[in-house]
Amino acid sequence: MKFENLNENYLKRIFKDEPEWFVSDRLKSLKLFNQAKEDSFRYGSTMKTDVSDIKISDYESKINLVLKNNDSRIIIKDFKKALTEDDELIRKFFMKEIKTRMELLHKAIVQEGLLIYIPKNVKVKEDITIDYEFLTNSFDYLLVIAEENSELNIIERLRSKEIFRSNVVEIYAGRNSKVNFYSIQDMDNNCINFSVKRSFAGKDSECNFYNFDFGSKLNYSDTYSELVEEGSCSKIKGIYFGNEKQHFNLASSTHHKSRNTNSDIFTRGILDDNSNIIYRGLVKIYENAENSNGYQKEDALILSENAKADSIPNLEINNHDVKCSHSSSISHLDKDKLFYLMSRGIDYKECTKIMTEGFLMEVLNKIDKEEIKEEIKQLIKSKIK
Amino acid sequence: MILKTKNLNVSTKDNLDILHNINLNVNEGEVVVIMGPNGSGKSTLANILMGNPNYKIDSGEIIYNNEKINELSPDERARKGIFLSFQYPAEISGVTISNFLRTALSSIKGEKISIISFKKLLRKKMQMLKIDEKFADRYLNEGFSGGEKKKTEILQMFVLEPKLCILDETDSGLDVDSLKIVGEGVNKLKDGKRSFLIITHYNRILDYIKPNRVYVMKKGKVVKEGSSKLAFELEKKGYEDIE
Ligand SMILES: Nc1ncnc2c1ncn2[C@@H]1O[C@H](COP(=O)(O)OP(=O)(O)O)[C@@H](O)[C@H]1O
Ligand SMILES: [Mg+2]
Repeated sequence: MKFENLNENYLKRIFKDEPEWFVSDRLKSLKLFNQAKEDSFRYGSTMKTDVSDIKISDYESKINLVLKNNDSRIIIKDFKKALTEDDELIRKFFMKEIKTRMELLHKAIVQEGLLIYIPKNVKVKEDITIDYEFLTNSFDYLLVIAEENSELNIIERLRSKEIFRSNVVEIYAGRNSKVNFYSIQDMDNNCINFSVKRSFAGKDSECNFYNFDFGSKLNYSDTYSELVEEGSCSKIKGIYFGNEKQHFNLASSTHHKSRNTNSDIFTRGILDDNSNIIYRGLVKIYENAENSNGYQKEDALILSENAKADSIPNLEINNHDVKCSHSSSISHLDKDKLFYLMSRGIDYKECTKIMTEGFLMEVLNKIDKEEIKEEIKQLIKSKIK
Repeated sequence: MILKTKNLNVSTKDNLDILHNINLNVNEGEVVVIMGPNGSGKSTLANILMGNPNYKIDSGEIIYNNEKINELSPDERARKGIFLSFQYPAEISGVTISNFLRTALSSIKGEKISIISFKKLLRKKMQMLKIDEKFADRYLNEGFSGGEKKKTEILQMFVLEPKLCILDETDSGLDVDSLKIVGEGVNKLKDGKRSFLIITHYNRILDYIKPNRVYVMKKGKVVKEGSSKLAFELEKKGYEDIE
């Protein structure tokens, strides 16, 4: 991965209107980025996400963003504005943990972004929807702070031209709050997309991610869910569909840091043509997290001869008073089932669609929202040739 | 003549010969029965008639309505009116009976069918077969008992109204009551034009349906042909004496 024209002067010039503390943070991050070793994107001896061809020289982002929110109690602000008006919040929550060199870069040149703040006891009935259309390379950020007893659903839809995108989403779920985050990524098949989503769940809160990955030639998505306080829970449900030469690198992890915490990871995906995936799952139980449950399940269905799936499920358990399980499977279209369906007068192509949709149904059924379910079904259908 | 096979030789994809010189006739409106011990090739015959790509025709012909259909895909055969009630129906997760059958019927009729009118039709057929209406929204055969699967096969046959119904051991796995429902159901479908090819090795279903002709298969060959009397003789004596 090559990032050209990136230096202090450039940053100082394009971020000249920002508060000094933040620009100084950017510069620090850039320095660390320049010192850090390249992320390897290697797993074991054979699995690898190839980033060698990536060369970026444009950093100024332009997004067509359409936001829908009908609840005046919610505060939604442009990230730039929040930097001056809510600098305490930003200082407290913005990218406190950095794991990869990509994230260092993100912190240095993050531009477009939103802060969504839900005050105490506010239960939002209507979904907040954010439709992004990326017109240029993008380094975008979303911070969600849900205060005590609040509830909301956020749906983001991602569409784009052929661009490079780096994204970070951070969700802080306060005590007894409930946040559902739906992400429908249907970007152009020539995009490069790096997305890191993190949630931090407070006491008795619930924070769920629903990831739908369809687009990009390289789609890296890391969903990290931390059960910080007692009684919290989280679900990560995912559906992906790769075709052409798409490469997906998807990671889902839950981190139980307190007692009585529950997590459930469930991903199903389809691979067609020459597409391939590296899927990494992790349930980690910390020493003091007794009486916790963590599940993960990952299934891939392969439609073509040249598609490929690699799955790396992991459990790290440091407390014995817990229940954990993991399973993963990779299967091909069952010829006998196909024959059975075709024998009822339905042609091959339609039968493939029926079986593919059927395979994904178990995850689709976990979505309470009918309209999203339909939207995803349509996207699945449009991807099957 | 609705169906005719001429010197049909069939093997598996891995070149294991299974059927040898099969000649059989099913005329319009007839009920023809194939009997024979386990492993004699009955299911293979049913599958090759339906176009299962696990098997290949090495020589010979399948003629259906005066057309050679050797090369037709399973869905093309179904659209021409052939139906197979499977001995071991597949379980299809995530696909409801109702949605699936509506797609199948639309495809066979070549026209879209509204959800409402299809639901009405399906309900009617389910009542005829005494199948609980809740099954309409269950996934096709998933977690069904053997008997439930067989009844669901017959339900599909009722909905799709094929011209040639091939029943592969639909009677095994059915309890007495279900057998009666299925047997009487098949009789209802008999309209003088529709033909049936019924494979059985118990001939229990013959308590309800009178065949026009009986073929006996053994080791991949048709070894005997006779009238309905043959079925009852076999019931008493077994297959040992037949060569
Ligand atoms: N796909 C296959 N691969 C290998 N052997 C097969 C296959 N299908 C059928 N056979 C063999 O062919 C013979 C006939 O099987 P089948 O047609 O199922 O008999 P029946 O239905 O009369 O019990 C059996 O010996 C069976 O093992
Ligand atoms: Mg059989």
